[in-house]
Amino acid sequence: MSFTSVRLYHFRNLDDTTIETNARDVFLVGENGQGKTNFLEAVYFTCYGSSFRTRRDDTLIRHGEDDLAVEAVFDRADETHRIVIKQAGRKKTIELNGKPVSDRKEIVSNVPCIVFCHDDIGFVTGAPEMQRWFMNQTLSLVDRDYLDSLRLYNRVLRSRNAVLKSGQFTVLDALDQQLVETGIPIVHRRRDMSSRFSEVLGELFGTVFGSSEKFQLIYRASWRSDAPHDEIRNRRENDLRMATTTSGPHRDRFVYQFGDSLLTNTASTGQLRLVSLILRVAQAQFVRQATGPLPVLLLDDVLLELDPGRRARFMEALPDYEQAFFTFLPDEQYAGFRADSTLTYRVDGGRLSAQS
Amino acid sequence: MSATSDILTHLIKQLSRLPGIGAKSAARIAYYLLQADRAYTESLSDDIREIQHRIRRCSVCGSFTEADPCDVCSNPQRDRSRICVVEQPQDVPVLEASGAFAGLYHVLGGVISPIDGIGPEDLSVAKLIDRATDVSEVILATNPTVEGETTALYVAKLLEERGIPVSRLALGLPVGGDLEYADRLTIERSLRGRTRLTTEF
Ligand SMILES: Nc1ncnc2c1ncn2[C@@H]1O[C@H](COP(=O)(O)OP(=O)(O)O)[C@@H](O)[C@H]1O
Ligand SMILES: [Mg+2]
Ligand SMILES: [Zn+2]
Repeated sequence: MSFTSVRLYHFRNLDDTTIETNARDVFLVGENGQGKTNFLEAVYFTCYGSSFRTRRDDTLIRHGEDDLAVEAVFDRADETHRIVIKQAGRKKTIELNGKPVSDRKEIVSNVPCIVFCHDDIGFVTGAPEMQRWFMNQTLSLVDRDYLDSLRLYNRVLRSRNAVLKSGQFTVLDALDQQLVETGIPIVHRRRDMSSRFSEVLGELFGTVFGSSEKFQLIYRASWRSDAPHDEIRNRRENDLRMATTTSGPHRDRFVYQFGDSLLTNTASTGQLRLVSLILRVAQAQFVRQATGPLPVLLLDDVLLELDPGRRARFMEALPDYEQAFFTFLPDEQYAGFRADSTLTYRVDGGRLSAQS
Repeated sequence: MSATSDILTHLIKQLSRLPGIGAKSAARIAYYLLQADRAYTESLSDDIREIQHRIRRCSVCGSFTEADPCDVCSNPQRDRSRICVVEQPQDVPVLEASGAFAGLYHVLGGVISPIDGIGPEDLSVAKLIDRATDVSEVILATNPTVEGETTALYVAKLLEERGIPVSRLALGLPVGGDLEYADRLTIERSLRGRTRLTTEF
């Protein structure tokens, strides 16, 4: 699937206009702060109904305005589709081919879109929450029901935490049972995915780093068994004291191991950054294997940080894609990556102008 | 603004408080009423006025009724060894319409929802335990939502501790669905396929 055009209205600093994107590769070239990432964000917004830079989608609305709209036309399996997302304050409405979509989930699995950006390094070095976020995203891209499971679990979790805070202790038995019933399917899916994901990751790592040391993703579930009733029971006093649920999938961890040691203990920042790129490549390959349609890639300033050798290997490792959007600074050597069909836009103060 | 449009605006505002009615539908309904047959609008307003006077909660099971106890509770033909537990009074006629259940009902009057500060003591749980002491089966027909499930598990445990057999009616009902929206066939199937519930904690 690929985007043929994107219409913008009140989206951050971008001009209100329609941008043609009918090419396999689209380059956005401009100085810092001009709107390159904003454009990638707009594309991402039509794929996920949310941003990769902020959790507050109302901040995407241009300063001083009340609402925004992004409309994208894309082809998939020889059919043309049109998606419109509007954000008015905190309220979001989504329309696919003229029909309202009530749940973001329905469009997430629609368009496999993968973004590569600076903050991705958090998936390697950041808080466990960020690492879970990455795995959750990967899983929800390949498993339609995963988001439902997660929502269900989170709902039980919120209830249980409310009980722990308020002292409605009589209900705890029931909620403990629900915590297990809704949590264990998540553990199973994560375990299954981690082992498959780890394989893809290990291979890529070898290619890009040219290293023979084993690189692995290790899933460390918070619950030690698949029937954690006793564990939860034993932790109850502790949970009550902390007034929150201290075990379960919301406390799961994902760690990366290089040879025999944890990656974060041994790698340099440059290496960690490259690993975070590889994570995204692995995600794209993984999604590709699982779901079929080729992904759309959004690559935000990522080539900038790699030396020429790694840059070339990274480009080789990129999964086959339907369409890719790249951002570059004007003085970068991007010409070498251009194909005849590449569309290049100069980005200046929120205005995109086509370059030949 | 003239007096007529004031009352019209007021009516539209009142109507838009109804569940599922937005401002647009409210306006459409108001204009419809304005031009509708007099006899109809008068009997409609009579019904609205009377409904709360005439209908109350059954003092035994908690369902809506004009006579107390309700028709189900006072019917000697009903199977008194079974009680079906539901969330809301409006769930009773839905189950009744399926014709698949011949026992008695018990309305909890809501679900346990810690986030909203609703606990077991806000529901008609103690009364259920009282009523259930001698029955041979209690069927829990709360909705298959997280809160409905919490409530079912909580009640089940209390009943089990007293040696009362409990089963759960949820099978076949759409996940997250409301009993209110389930059709007759689904309910019949659910009732037949109900499962014995055991709590693990
Ligand atoms: N809600 C908004 N309304 C208007 N301008 C915004 C908004 N959010 C960000 N901007 C502007 O967008 C610019 C940053 O764009 P960005 O796409 O991140 O730049 P880059 O080209 O470096 O990727 C800044 O000038 C910023 O002021
Ligand atoms: Mg940028
Ligand atoms: Zn009754």
